[in-house]
Amino acid sequence: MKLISIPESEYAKYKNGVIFEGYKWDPQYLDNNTIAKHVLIISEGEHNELEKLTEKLYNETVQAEMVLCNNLKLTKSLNLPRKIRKELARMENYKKEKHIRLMRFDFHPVADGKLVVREFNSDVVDGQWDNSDAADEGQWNNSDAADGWWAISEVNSDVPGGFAEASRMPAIAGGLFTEENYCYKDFGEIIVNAFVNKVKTGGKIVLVHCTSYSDDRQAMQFLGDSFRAAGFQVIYAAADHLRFRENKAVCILGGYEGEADAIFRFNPLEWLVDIKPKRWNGYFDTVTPSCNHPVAVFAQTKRFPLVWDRLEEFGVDLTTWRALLPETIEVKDAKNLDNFIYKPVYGRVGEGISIKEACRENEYSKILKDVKKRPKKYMAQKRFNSRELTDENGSSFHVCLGSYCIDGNAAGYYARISEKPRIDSSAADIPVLIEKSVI
Amino acid sequence: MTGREAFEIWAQPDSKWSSWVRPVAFIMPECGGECREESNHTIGIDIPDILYIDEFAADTAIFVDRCGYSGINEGLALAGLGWCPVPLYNGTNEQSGAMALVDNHGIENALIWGAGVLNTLSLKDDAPSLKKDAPPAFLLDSNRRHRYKPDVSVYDNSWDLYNQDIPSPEYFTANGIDKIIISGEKIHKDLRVIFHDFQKKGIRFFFTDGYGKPEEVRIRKPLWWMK
Repeated sequence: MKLISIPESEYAKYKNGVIFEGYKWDPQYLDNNTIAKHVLIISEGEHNELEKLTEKLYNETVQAEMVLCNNLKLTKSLNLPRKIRKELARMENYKKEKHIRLMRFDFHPVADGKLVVREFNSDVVDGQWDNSDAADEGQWNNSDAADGWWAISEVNSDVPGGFAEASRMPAIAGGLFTEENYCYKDFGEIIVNAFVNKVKTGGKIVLVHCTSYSDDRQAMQFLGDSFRAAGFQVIYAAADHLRFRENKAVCILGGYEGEADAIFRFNPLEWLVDIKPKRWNGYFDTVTPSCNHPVAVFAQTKRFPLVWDRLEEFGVDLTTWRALLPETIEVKDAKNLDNFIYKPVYGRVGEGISIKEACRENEYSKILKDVKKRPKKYMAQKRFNSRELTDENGSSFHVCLGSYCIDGNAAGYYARISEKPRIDSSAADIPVLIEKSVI
Repeated sequence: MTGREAFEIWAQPDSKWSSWVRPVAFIMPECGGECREESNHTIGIDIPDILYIDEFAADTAIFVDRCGYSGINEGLALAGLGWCPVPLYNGTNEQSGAMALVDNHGIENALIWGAGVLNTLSLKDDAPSLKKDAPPAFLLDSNRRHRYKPDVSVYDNSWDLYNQDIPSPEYFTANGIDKIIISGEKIHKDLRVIFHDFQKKGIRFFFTDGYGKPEEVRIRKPLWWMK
């Protein structure tokens, strides 16, 4: 894995290309440029390894969801919001094969406390965080990755974003290179195919999002344009523009009334509770193909690891999860432990995580105060030691490499880099290219 | 002129403030073939005289918060006086056939038209607004917070300005700006939330309705539910 700087002379053109052709409508966040001046290159070996880990994590998560869906008493320790909890029983008609399941696992290269991976084409073994010399046990079948191990920080299970960044951005970046030894996996193509497989030809797909936010619309616009190119009809609508009759979604947006053939939801489930659209609970038992169905909330909460022991009693294999996710415990259990950080149970984009040196102004003390006041809203997680990548000029960056999975198949990457060890809203989006192996 | 060409004129690459030009209003008219197209609409607008500025002040930023495209007119007038206009319009369009709360189409057309005006300004011998150090004049649509929905079937494209959409107070002060004039009908709630924090960091605020001289104001602490 390496960073390549985009030549200064090319950057302005590249940036405007990403904005206008790459659906990146929020290129600035406070004083930070959110379009990286680098390209992230991963080797084919790393790519193969990441895809295998991603698909394993996906399969384990889906197994867990099915068990939780059929054994709701197990969900108690997830401490889901009361209004969501009340609706869970409606999901008894959930059939995973009818819906499109999209997840993004956020991988981080780590320097120590490593995960031991024997070979990139074998099972994860000895998935333990230990203190022995990494080089003794890490045997990647790939020299580029010889100094690297992965941790995951979370799964974006409910409403992952970064779609155009995982599709158009690498396409635009690919144009910077004259060599033909780079390729990328096109998320857009894969998500469209997933809908083609489960939604009737030419059907109406309703893209449900917060219509007041242009950064939501940019993600929806990319999907909408991709779906339209595949012959679907597309409706840009808010959560309250869907009603449910006989478990089928019906659109009520003026000018676009009628039955929907599929839902792509970009409103986080727990936000729906706050928005209070009428009959929002219809999302739980709809038979209209949905991406994602509310079943996604089980793994979205950072409390998901608290049910793993019970899930394993039901035969769920969580080997890869256990190997890659740092130890995650309740706040009360982390009191006298070193090297644990706090994360909001429903946190997104790295916000509210107590990595002291990455916090702005008095943010760190505010987080600690809130953790004390509302410990159930946070989890404690063992901090991993993010391995920085250094560019040709000696500048170092932390990397978060989001790896998508759609209906069981790995589906490309959305990556961000930051000078700070927390990848949050100030981080920059970076295209991921795969370097083909030379035979 | 395409939206991208217009954007590249408004977001002058060597300006200290161009990174904050929001691209949404430049992209919307051309995106996906879905949005209503009125790009050939003729804009019958004039650039007004600025009555509230006596002389150029390099230590002063301006937030022009005017309804529809009139903020663009005022921004262009300020460009003639030495300020760098920075459009912050961030509203999206409804699909053709739907009804929206806020009409952004006039703004989108005016930005294209205004790019031509800015180009003309740049041809003049001394174009102060195009200098790297020109202080910023941020442009907003005061209709952005229209939230009244006559019916649930309407597309809500109202929007707020958030602190992440503009430079930090530290960036303002590091670039010699310690005063901000708000030109508009009133100081809207979203601006109060942002500017109360700015005020705590030593930036002074002035308000004008566009006719009278700017008067110094204290930004009241926003209520908790505004945040």
